[in-house]
Amino acid sequence: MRASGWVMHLALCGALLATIGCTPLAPWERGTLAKPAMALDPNPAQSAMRTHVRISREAASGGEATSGGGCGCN
Amino acid sequence: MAATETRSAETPRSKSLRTLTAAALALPGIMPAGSPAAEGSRATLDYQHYNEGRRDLASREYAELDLKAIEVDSLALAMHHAFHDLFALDLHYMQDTWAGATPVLSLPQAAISDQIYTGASIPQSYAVDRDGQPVTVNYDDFTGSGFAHNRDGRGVHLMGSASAETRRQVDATLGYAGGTHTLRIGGGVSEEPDYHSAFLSIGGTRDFNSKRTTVEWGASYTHANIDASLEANSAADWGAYAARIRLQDGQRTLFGQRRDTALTLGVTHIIDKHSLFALGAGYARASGYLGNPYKAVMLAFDDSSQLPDASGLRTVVLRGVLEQRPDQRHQWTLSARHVGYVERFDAALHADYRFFRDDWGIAAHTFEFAWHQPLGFGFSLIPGLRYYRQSRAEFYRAYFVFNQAMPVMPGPVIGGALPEIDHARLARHTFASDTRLSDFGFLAGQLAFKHELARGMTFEIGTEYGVHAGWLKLGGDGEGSFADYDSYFVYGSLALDLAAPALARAARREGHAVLLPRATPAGVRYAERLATAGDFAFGYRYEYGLTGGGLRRGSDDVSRREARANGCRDAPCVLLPVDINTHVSLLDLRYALSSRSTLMLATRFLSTDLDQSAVAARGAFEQDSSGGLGDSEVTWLHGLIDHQRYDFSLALGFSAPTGSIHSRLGDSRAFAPYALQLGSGTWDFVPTLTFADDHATWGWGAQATGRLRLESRNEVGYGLGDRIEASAWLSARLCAWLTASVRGLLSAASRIDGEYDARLAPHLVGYRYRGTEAVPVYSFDRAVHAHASPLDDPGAYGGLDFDLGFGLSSLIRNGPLAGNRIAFEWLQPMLNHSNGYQPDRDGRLFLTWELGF
Repeated sequence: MRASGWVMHLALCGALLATIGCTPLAPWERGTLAKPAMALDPNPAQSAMRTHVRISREAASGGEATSGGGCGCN
Repeated sequence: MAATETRSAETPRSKSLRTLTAAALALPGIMPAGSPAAEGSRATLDYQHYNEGRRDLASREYAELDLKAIEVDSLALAMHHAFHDLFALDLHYMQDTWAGATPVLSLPQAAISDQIYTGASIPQSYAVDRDGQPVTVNYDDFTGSGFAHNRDGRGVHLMGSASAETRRQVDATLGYAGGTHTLRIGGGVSEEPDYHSAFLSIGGTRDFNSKRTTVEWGASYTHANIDASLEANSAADWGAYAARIRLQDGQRTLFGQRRDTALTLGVTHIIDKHSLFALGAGYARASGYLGNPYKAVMLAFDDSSQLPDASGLRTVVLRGVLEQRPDQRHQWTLSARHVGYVERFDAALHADYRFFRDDWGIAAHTFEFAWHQPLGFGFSLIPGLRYYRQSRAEFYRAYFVFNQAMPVMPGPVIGGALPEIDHARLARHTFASDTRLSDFGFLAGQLAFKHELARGMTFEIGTEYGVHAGWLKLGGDGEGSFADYDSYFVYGSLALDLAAPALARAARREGHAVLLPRATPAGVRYAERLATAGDFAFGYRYEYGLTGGGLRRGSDDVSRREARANGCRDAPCVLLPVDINTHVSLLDLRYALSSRSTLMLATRFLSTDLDQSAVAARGAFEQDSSGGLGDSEVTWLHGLIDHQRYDFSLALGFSAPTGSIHSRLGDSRAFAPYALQLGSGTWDFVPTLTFADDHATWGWGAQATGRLRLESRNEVGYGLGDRIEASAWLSARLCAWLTASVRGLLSAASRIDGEYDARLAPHLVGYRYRGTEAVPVYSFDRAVHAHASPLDDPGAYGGLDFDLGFGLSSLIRNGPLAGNRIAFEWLQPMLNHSNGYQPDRDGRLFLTWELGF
């Protein structure tokens, strides 16, 4: 699939999902969402370390706005 | 006993309070990951070990080539501190040490057979049949009408080993949270011997729809300077990079600059009370020198105009060239993440997808799934799966075949140098054989185990095992099996709520401190007993040792000329040490068995950088590093006298040899100097006696400690000398929360006993044929450790030293960080008497941070 196709696909999914819940969710209804396991990245420090190793093994790792230096030349 | 009952009655309430606070702050849509002011103050420590499996080197083995598969040891420390309700500061330190062999380039296996037969130092040619397919030839089977041969389409890597290298990164982010929006700005630097980068970032979030939808944006800029030695790749043609290469420290060095700019935009949306999703898009642009200076490519020139020999074979000429990449890269990413709560199992399912595309022709898809299953009592099991697939860069090939004779630059070729390629007469100008740019798939299974300990501590250990293979690329066209390998990660992660001590104290309503209110200087260990049975404490100690500037023997400064002549055993030294810098991170966990006895587990993570000057070449340096897990200890701390004002304690510790003693010099595979080894290699006994007397405004103390080797030699043949230290200090309370100290430290260490065993080094003795394939035959000879530098002399280690220390210590008594203790000490060498030729000691810095629960 071409890149533009993926953009359209994701935009469509996003629009559909966004319509699912637009009414406010009361704080007491968010207890489950507050569990550590429900965080988008439950262990960001580990993710960052692993990404740094993957950068020197995969062409598509990195390239995000969360900066970090390093050659990754090995 | 009363205290214990009080705490057990109150802890659930305080835990509930913390949970509720964290829950309210961690709500997705309210505080996305990395947002300022989230979750009060916390710290995380992470250790990770990565190990790659061996590659298929066809007829050769790692042992025969004296290679070691690549390993990476990483350590990260992060601290998040929220203040004034609106602001937060994030500090982050990370280091990783890489050691082992990686592919430099790839080429046909037929070329290796040809090299083996001709005895050339590098592959220079191979034979192809009438169809242009590589063949291996059995030159021992000459029939008069030709050579026996068969097609061999296999590729193979040429591997290269480099000395271990450590990268260090420090960064900080300041965040602001106001109403429905947040803002963060950050920056940092990353340093490694050949790559120096600095980066800035800015980002923020905006909440909509009663914090049910959050839009997140970010931008970053990174600037890097590269100065990479090309000595390991000296035979390669430089191509378009010739203008970037100059001499530095006597070595041919490639200089480059690189700039990376990245933009991201994302949205997180809560679908319902059990699920949420996040969509993201990113664009990144890189420009400048984007190559990898340690990778080369093999160009194969198949001149079809040449006449075939009697067997119908033609010779293809090979030439290695530094890889040449475009100087710009545009990258786009799209990502979708979904987190759903599965009520039936009380579990969370994470499903992530990421799409990547760039203008180098690479397209990649990443799928990740993780299942977070609580097991009760704070335990969780987290199995996961990751699949990654990418298509190759337009300019990637295992090797490049040109149907032409090798075009060379006109003019004479000096000495035995290889002719320079005329790149203007090549059909393409970008090439890479770095397999990270190839067609492949990667499939990994993950398993993590998480435990939420009492009082704000969370511990996680995990592993990942993965296979990188061409056949795993869905859709086919994957790279050949020569590029396949497997790998694994293991990691440990500790997260601490820095406000937990204050919360626990408030809950207990008793105000007792877990850490004893002593004012021992930061460099003093084994005096960290806890106050009450059942208390926990965590400690982190950073030690930076600086050595260099000059050389000495005994108590006298010596010239480099004298050290060169007499510092090495049988011949003048080839290398002389200039600087040795050691970074040690020591982590300990303490548990009070009773009010008098505390059990302490400690481990260290260290990295050492050694610079030595080459005596033969003015201005030439050799840099070596080591890094990774050091030795670990278990210590029993016991108070001999229980008195409110003074403390007399005994510590009995045993040190286990968990640190490696196999650090090697990168390309030679000879043992590194003893100072670069990460551990002692022996079980050691560490007894300590400490006396401390604290008055209202001043105090004093004294300590005697020893490190006695329980084994005379380690498994590679030597034993570090015993070490005994005696110190005494005076402290003065400057104010309620700050104490200053001055300390004298006398230390004596004996010489290293024994020396490195002779190692078995491979030696090529001949070849045998397996079918038409030439297989090298090696014998293993004993190679005695060479004394190239005074640091290779075991008799030079140890001596008698006296240092004077100045320190500050603070036990925070109030506020959200109450119960945390931070301390600093600088040890200045005053008197030295070394056993042999040693570099001068410049001093030692200690920073400690302790947290009682």
